[in-house]
Amino acid sequence: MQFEAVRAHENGAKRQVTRLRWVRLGLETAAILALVDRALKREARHRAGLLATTTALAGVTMLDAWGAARQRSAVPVRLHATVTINRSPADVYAFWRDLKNLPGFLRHVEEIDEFDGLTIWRARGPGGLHLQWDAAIVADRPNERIAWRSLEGAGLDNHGSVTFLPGPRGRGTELHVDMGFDPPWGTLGAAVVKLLGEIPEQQLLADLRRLKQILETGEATASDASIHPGLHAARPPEPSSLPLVKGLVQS
Amino acid sequence: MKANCWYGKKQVRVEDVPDPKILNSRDAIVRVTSTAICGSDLHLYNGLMPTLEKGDVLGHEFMGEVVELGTSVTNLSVGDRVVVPFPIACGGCLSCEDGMFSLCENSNPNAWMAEKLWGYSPAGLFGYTHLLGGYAGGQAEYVRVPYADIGPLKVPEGLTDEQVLFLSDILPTGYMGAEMCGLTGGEVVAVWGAGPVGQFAIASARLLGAERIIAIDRLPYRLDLALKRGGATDVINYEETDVAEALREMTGGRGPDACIDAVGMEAHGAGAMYALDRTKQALMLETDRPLALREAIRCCKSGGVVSVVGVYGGLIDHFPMGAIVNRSLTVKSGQCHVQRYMRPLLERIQNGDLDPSFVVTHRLPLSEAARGYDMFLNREDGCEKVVLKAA
Repeated sequence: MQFEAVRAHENGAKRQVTRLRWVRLGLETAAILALVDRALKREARHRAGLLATTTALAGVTMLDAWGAARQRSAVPVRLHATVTINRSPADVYAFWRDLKNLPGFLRHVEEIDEFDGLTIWRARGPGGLHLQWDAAIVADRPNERIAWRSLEGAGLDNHGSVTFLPGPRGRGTELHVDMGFDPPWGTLGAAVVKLLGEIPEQQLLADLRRLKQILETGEATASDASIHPGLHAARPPEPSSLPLVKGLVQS
Repeated sequence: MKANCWYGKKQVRVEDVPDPKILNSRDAIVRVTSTAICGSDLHLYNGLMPTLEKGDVLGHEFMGEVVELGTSVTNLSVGDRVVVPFPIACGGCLSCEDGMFSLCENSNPNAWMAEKLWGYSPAGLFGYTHLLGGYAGGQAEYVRVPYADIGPLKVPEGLTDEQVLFLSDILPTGYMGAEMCGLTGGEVVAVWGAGPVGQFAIASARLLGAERIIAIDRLPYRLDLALKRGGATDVINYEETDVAEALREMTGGRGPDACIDAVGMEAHGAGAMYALDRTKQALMLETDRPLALREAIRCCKSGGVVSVVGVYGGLIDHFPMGAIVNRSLTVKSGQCHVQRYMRPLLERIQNGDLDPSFVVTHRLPLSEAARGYDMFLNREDGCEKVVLKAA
């Protein structure tokens, strides 16, 4: 029953994405025409830069048109990361399944609410962008696997799964996480996801390391330099710089 | 507080920096009483380890008094006198459970950097590059100690700082170097480098039953110390004597059963190979100069063990793999799993088997750290080990 409902939501979301794509294509074409018009009116020395911009925009638009014609989302992003945690699959599953724990280690997720198998995710995107979407838990096998998929109107179509395998010689849990994002805004959307400023797969691994630290040591580990964004002298930080870190436990 | 900070090649300065704070609930803040300059600090001083930042607080050999504790630390009290192991280890991951504390899987928040260089990340270390965590070091008045419920060892009354300070690194490191030789009694062991780690490797080889221990260095005062205090039975000055020939002669043509490299990436040497390695290192074509390691491999008995406790950071050239394969050599190495050795070695100190303070030649206030580095680097005034008094 629930699965059928998800399917219907997904089909609705796809139709909406296609509509958005054609609207965007129209706007971009208008923008290009306007730019070309300005370029022709300006002095020659300004033309090169404007023409380059115009060409780039036209390139993106053509790719968008190609994507829209194929009626599917452009360049999906697929991430995988794995880590071994010295706690039983039951412990790791229970921690993950309590979704309010996820923002504690998934750096971009701010909050997750759950009711009746539906979840509401709030996340931070690039450039201070705030995203919110609904997702359904589409698989839930205790101590083995959890999978989720965003519903219609998610803004960022996405799905994911986490698998809990017993570790070597019965010690710990091998955690395998897969996440997929299908950016709605064509090639440019995918580029934005790619250019979050970091390497998304490495970021996912960093998130899982924080989960490992929380489960094995009680909290995410901080070093003097790691609590600053970017490289910074390894010396005790000024008190004013401390609140920059999310989830940093201070006693 | 005052702390010794790195500013570039051969530039360290004691500066005013913010006091450390409790960041995790298992942290402690320790007021440092004694801290030492390690041979591996000289690799940082010489700018040979990547990912050091201007302003980094150095130092990973230190001890002192607990002045503040995070809410989760219940086995220590404010006022306890502790020695702190240089690898930061959580005690809860699979590596820590297996006693491989320097491979702690949780203590390096910059694990991704170490993975780029070495494949996987080892533990974070105090004051030893960002690639190994970016933790402020202990050449300071105060230091934050993570996982304080696992690492720090309470010092029993009646022992001086200098008797126990080296439990933080060089004594266990030298001991592990000897332990990796798999001694059962009666062996011949050759030790390259008669610096403090070499001295403790020699002393440990003796404790573990080696019959003949040969110290190899170029500095007469270090070789003297190895003979008189470390427990070496023989010494070779490689600037005067061909090491391979001498070892062959001393062992009836067999070679030493085990060879310990207590030198690492900045070996000195003689001849064309030394000049070549030195040039390549200066041009960044090779990160480490493995002269002692090559010689240890070449000199080791067929079927013997080469134990490497000298620090290497990256890549070496002309590694004699053919000798290892064709002569069934075993090469063992590792940053010391200090937490594993602290208690047993403390007992050795308490019952008089060992007094590690014999390596100390210079005592300076923390404010003179720069002079200490310079003196240690240039082996001035018979310098073997510099202890900085922070309080």
